[in-house]
Amino acid sequence: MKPLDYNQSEHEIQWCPGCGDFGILLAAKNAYANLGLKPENIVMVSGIGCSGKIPHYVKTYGFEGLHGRALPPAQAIKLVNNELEVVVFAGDGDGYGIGMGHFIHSMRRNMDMLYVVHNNQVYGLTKGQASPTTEVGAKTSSTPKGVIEAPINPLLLALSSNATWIGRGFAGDIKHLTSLIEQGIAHKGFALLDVFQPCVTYNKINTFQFFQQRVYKLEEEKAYDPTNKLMAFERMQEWGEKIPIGVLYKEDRPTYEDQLPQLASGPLIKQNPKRDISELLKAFA
Amino acid sequence: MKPNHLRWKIGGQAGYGIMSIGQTISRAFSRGGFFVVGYPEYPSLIRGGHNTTAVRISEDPVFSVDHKVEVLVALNKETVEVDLPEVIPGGAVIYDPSDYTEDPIKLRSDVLWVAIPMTQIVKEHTGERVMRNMIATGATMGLVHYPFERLETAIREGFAKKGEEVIAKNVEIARIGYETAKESAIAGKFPLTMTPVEKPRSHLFLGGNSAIALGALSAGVQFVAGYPMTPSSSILMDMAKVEQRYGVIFKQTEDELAAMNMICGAAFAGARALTATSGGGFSLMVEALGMAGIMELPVVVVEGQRPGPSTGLPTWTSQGDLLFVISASQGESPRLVLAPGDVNECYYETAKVFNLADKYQLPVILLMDKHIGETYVSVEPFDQNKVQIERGQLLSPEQASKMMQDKGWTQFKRHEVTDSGVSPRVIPGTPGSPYICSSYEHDETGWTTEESDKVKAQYDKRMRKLEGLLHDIPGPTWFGPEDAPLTVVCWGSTRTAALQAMEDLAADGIMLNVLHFTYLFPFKAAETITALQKTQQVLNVEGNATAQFAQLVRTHTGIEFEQHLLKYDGRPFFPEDIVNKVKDLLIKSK
Repeated sequence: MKPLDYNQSEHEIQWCPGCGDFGILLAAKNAYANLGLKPENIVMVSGIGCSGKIPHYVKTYGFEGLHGRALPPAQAIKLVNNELEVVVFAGDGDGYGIGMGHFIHSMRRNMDMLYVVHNNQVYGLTKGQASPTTEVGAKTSSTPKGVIEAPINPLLLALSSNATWIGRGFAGDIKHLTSLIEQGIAHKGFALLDVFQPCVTYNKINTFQFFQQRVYKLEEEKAYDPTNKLMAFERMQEWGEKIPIGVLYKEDRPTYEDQLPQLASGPLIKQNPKRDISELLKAFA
Repeated sequence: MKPNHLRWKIGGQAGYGIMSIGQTISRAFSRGGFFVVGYPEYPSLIRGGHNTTAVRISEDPVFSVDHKVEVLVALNKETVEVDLPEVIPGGAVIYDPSDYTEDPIKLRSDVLWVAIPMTQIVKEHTGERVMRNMIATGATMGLVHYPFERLETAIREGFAKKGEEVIAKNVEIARIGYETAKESAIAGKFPLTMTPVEKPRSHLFLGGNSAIALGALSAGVQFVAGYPMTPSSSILMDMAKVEQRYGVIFKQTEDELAAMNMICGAAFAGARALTATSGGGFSLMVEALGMAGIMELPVVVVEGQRPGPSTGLPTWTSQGDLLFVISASQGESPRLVLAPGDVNECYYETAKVFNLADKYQLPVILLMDKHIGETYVSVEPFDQNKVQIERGQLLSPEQASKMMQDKGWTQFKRHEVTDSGVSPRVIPGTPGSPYICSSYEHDETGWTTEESDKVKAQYDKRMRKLEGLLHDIPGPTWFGPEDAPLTVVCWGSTRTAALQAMEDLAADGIMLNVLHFTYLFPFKAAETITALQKTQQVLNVEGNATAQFAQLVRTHTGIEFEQHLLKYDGRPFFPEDIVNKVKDLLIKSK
């Protein structure tokens, strides 16, 4: 498979020119190709927002659900057909704001899927309001005097919510991001990939340049051990002059679906739904 | 008092085993060939409060419990205080003298006071205090001369999982209650006897919630997601119990938002999917209900009504959500709404509407309530062979690729505009036909569109499904004599009280018939007009304050009901509510 094989060619892409979403789109197609995934076996699930458009732009099955609610349908798709590769895309408002509850519970469940959060630290589609990851002091249309709430740290949240794979990428480094998406898909369990995805229209602070000057790759640091929870805890709080990207944490834990005896004989939807409940009826006799 | 007709009620605190003993006594009589209906009332508490279970037992078919009883079992003083007025003259009260310092007989002299020293018996036989319910049940059997063996069998079955020791203890203690009552001088004066009928029927004994779960299992449900909420939790817990045995996945979710969004995902991926909740949870599901509409996903939602607004009365009943579920969600989207009228319909209609959900690719709302969900009745065993699984236009990979070829499509048109409004669908994993299923308005391929003609074409196509659906669902059902001077119109669970009232009134020589609606939306207007033309005087009976069903009828037919019997205090309709109202009306019209 080549990245081009996942192109949908009929429609024009509707993101702002220069949007960080293009980098994520390209990296996702690269990763699918590198992993040799068949388009029909991938389901891209999204919520609502600029990130939510991404399933439209790839020739796979797509489910563009409700704002903040990408994870619940994604989990159900995985549960009823665990032969599918489920990749979920959300935004920071979508995934860390209105959809926060689902995020935390998805991690403790550990179903095998990759969750990519397009984190541009602002609401784009509704024209530039503050998001849960907007930095303190940032002036937005909903905070004209500057944000006075502390931002969410999604990586720390993931660590405390028992996520089994936590990564961070940058939409300005497509090669590195491709590798992270590949690793996230290959990881057996729930993988969170938070991606710095600069919004060229509404976020004038966290720009491509801002990240280019600050990010460094954890894998280039030999001493960093992503299986060490304490090390991850420390590094996830690093922000300012230097900001780490790469795989921050990983562990092995059985997936939710692997613990379901109902799936021993194959995906649920391939089992015959016609069943004899005579035994059960006897309990009411 | 008629032999082989017993209305029985037990009352006590939560934690006294009020509900479980209702099951035991019901089973004992059901096994003896009787028709049984049992109805529990309980506050939203784990311990304490006033709990009751009322059971009606008869050799003739029964539909509903009553507010009158022949035998009251009081496990505490409060039961006597609250429920004594329900005991008919000549009836009996089984009580524990240790609850009283002076004889309670002065409270009412026209009933028999049967003193059973339950607390003392428990102590003497090293039983637990909760077992007083078993002594009282044994005493009831002794009082009406019902063979003890029937109760023993019911105990054995009910406690089968708890082991021989527990069974033996319960049987022993029940027998003491039985003998004590039988030997008491007062008991000899009680005229009511219950004798097992000669040919015992092989009835099932269950509530509407259980029947819904069984219907869904017969229909091949594969995925169930939900968040516990009274009065529908038992459907979810039933699924949790059997999921491994029957190849179902039950997922308890973090909230109802997740539950509804999950079943949409499961339906998209090709599974038969169900959730169950009450009005509060349903409120959280509304956004995703609309999504199921625009995405054209077959899902089944059980909404077990309880009185609102807001938290309301969690453990009581209501018919207050009818117009809400019919119109829930922003915009307009087709759906099927039905409210089963009895436990049989809970099973068979549930199985059937999974097919309709698939055929028309839309959400189905099964409108239940606490009353029908938790009232236990004896019914003919369900016939699984009557249930067919029909998945509608769900294409196999071969059919999908042939369709793509025949139509010359380069992209699969999941939302193809058709005359019926229904478009063939494929599920993920099908080669060659990936498509996007979107909550945005879309064109035939699923691509987001805001173009006027495409928007309208999709909107019309979805709404067109209601035409076929309307044709596939039945109109209202008649019960009783055709030429009755008065017709009770009702929907959903109110049927049971209406039918019982019809029988009770017939005994008084008053003729009544009942027009009952199970299927509520889309609305069978033509059939309703025809049916109402046959009526002389109509009484609309429903469990809400604004006569919502009457509003629905007026909207679709222009017909206005003039007489209403409305109830919204959390209690179901009891037959006597309808009997009294009918008698009033007939007096007035004379």
